[in-house]
Amino acid sequence: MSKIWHRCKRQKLACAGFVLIASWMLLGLFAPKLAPHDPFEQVPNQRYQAPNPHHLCGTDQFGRDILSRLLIGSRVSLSLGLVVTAVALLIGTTLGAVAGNFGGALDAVIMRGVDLLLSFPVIYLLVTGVAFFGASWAILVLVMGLTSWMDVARLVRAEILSLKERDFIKAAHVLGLRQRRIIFRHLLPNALSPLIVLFALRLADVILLESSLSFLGLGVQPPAVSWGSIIRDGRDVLARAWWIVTFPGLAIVLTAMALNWIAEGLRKSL
Amino acid sequence: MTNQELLKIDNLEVCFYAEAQPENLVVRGFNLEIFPGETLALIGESGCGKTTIARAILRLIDWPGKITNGKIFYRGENLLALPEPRLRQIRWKEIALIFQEPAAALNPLRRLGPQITEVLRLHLGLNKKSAAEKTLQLLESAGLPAAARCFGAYPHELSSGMRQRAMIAMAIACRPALIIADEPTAALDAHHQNEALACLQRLQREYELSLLFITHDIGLIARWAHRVAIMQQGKIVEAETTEQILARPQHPHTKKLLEAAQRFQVPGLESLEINHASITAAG
Repeated sequence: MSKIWHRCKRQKLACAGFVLIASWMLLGLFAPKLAPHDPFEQVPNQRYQAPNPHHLCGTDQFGRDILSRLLIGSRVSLSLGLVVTAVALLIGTTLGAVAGNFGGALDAVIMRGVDLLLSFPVIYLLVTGVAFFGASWAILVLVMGLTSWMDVARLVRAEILSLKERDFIKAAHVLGLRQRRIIFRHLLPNALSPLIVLFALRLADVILLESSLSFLGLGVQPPAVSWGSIIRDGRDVLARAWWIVTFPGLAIVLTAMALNWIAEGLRKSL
Repeated sequence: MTNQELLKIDNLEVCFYAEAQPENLVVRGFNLEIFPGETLALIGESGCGKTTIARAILRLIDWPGKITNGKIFYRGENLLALPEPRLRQIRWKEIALIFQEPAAALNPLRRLGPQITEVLRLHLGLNKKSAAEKTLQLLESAGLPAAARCFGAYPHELSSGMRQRAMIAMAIACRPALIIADEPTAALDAHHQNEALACLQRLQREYELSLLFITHDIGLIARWAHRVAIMQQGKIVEAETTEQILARPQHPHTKKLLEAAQRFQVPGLESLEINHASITAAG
């Protein structure tokens, strides 16, 4: 453990990324205390304020403070991202492990399912799903989770396939252990490090995906705010108020980049 | 030694890849019996199918390998036809396997102790505490110094000699009737080889278990095995008492193996001549 920590510390970019993500989480957590203004309050006489000492990131066409909305919005973007990624990892790991461990017809069925889902443009699946069931938080998690587990399944299956041939897994079988115990206690823990890397990468993807959905108006619905929905609000007045889309855009880009840095650092040090 | 065999392999045939064409058969027409309390040495050159036999007995052969014919009886039960749950009861509880490479046979992410307690809890139904106590005893009886420290160590923290002794401790954990040792000393130097062998031999007598000792090195086991089976290209060519094999080898392949072993004998060291005292002691 301490060895890994030392190797991680040498990955400067990953550390920067980690600090960035951690501070976003803290900012989001304490957003109600930290926000300089009420993120939902419309102040008619303060519309379209360019960034100034009073409104650091300016205000939108309703006079709402962008910085406050950014802080509150990070809650939805990050928590949705984390939950969706967790769901995707859970589904993908389970199916991948089952496919890899048992092989045969089960493997073929699961992996052809993966191929099929991967050959759909995910955004259409999402749009259809949300249009059909409405855009509640639970539906978003479900729909996004169900469309982003496939590469996890592939990775886990490949890891399991190579682990399965190792002597200590053969030994686990000779010990008379049950399949379930072999999968959870012997196979999966040994496949953990690429999974951790993938978690960071997927998280970046999901945050981007949520932003695109919100931008299309299919993500969280007003009055709830996410970074994507702030951009959507500012889209029409881009020529008049560049700051409305710029700051949430920067937040998204920085977060995704930070997560990629973390993933890269973890890949090198795990 | 009773006449009732413990394990009987009957006309076993193992095939790798596709159809059972003669060139794909790794093991064919293989017959072998092991009696209770006996040490049987299975000797053959690399690639003749020794490890395949060991794995076939415990039904470990996966695609692309396949058992295409034959039966393996353990106390009258055909292992190859057993349902999974019964097979799981026999694995390790009745028949244990010591792998060639102890470093590869232990889970690198788990401490040594819990890997052994896992088996004890599964097969003997011990609780956590008594399984841990038993594990410490086992590690001590396998001659591991500072058993308590080994208990909490990860496999990579132990030397290869220690790892193999830990494997031996694990193999005797449930007092199986049969231990299959698949070239257990191939990865060790001469000193640790002797140590591990002595440890295995001592425990075998103490626990009165049968041992199927697989090796390519006839010199290693000749002084200790009751019987020797010589294998060539997937078949037994000669199976006799060790005395017979050493004194009057019949098959040309046996003679070849013996000559090969003798060529490495250093003058002044004990020759391959059988040591009668140790055989009678073992019997």
